[in-house]
Amino acid sequence: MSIPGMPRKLALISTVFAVGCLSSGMPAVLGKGLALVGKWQVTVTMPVSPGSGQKNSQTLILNVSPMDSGSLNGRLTITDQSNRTVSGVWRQVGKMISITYEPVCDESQGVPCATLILLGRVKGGGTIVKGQVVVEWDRPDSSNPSLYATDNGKFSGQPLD
Amino acid sequence: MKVRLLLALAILVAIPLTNVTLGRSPRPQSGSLTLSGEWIVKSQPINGQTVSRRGNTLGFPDRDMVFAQDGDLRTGMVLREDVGPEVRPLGVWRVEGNNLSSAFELWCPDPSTPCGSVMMRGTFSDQNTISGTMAVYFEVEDDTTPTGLDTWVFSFNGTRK
Repeated sequence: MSIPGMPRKLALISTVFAVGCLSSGMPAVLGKGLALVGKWQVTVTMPVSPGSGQKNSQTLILNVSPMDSGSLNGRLTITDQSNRTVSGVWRQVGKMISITYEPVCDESQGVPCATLILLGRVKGGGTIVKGQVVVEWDRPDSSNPSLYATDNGKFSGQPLD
Repeated sequence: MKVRLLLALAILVAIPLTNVTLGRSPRPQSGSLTLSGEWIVKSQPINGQTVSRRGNTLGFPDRDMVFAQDGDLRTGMVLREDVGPEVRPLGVWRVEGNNLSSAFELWCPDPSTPCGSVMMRGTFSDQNTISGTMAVYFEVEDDTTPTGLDTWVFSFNGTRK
């Protein structure tokens, strides 16, 4: 039985490829959100304070839950090196993934709290996640288009499962 | 000794009276403020900016926002029933003293249109009223911004439902 609008040979090749992917256990990277679901160890590197040239790296454990049926956003938990866990949210559009979360805030260190966006891609057939970190600090800055101080960082990680 | 005692008592009585006579509402105590619950959030442009530099916008719909807390896990959701019954962008939040912060991922069904993340910064006027600004970071390059992302800000006012 042919698929309407698709030549028979192309349909056969597509079917063989899909069966091959399923039987080999290859992650469905292009499937809706499947690439990110699971546990990841991710290192986030970003300035220690607004505008600082000094950078700090934190290793985080991300536990990414599947999206609910019909949803385009999913939830995750982020656990830091001090074993503190917060909530996060994620989405995937095409190959791009975005994770947003509010890290545990410790103002006693004299550094403002911040909100982070991890913006990147899952690469290598689901074996690497990496990209840019956008940091928005809790420090008003009228000269910044965000009206708050921002910084850039980077992140990369591997699946733990 | 009696004079000192009377002076101390007088100060103790005078402080609350001063607050009342000046018409100031007592400053909400840190820890007593929470976003947990349902809020109606209305938004307005800042300086007439209805779109970003790259022409992206979210418009100015009233947003029905629901926030919840389970231990250290603080979650949020926008009920966009005006768009569709299942359209529910997800977010996270935190409160530090009188200041609130929340971050959401946008709901992007069409991969050909720009997606992004929203960061919300504001303050509590009282337990049922919030205001501040939202910054939208669109996944569109803009080398004029510090983050390199097209950024758009607008203001908001929210009341507990």
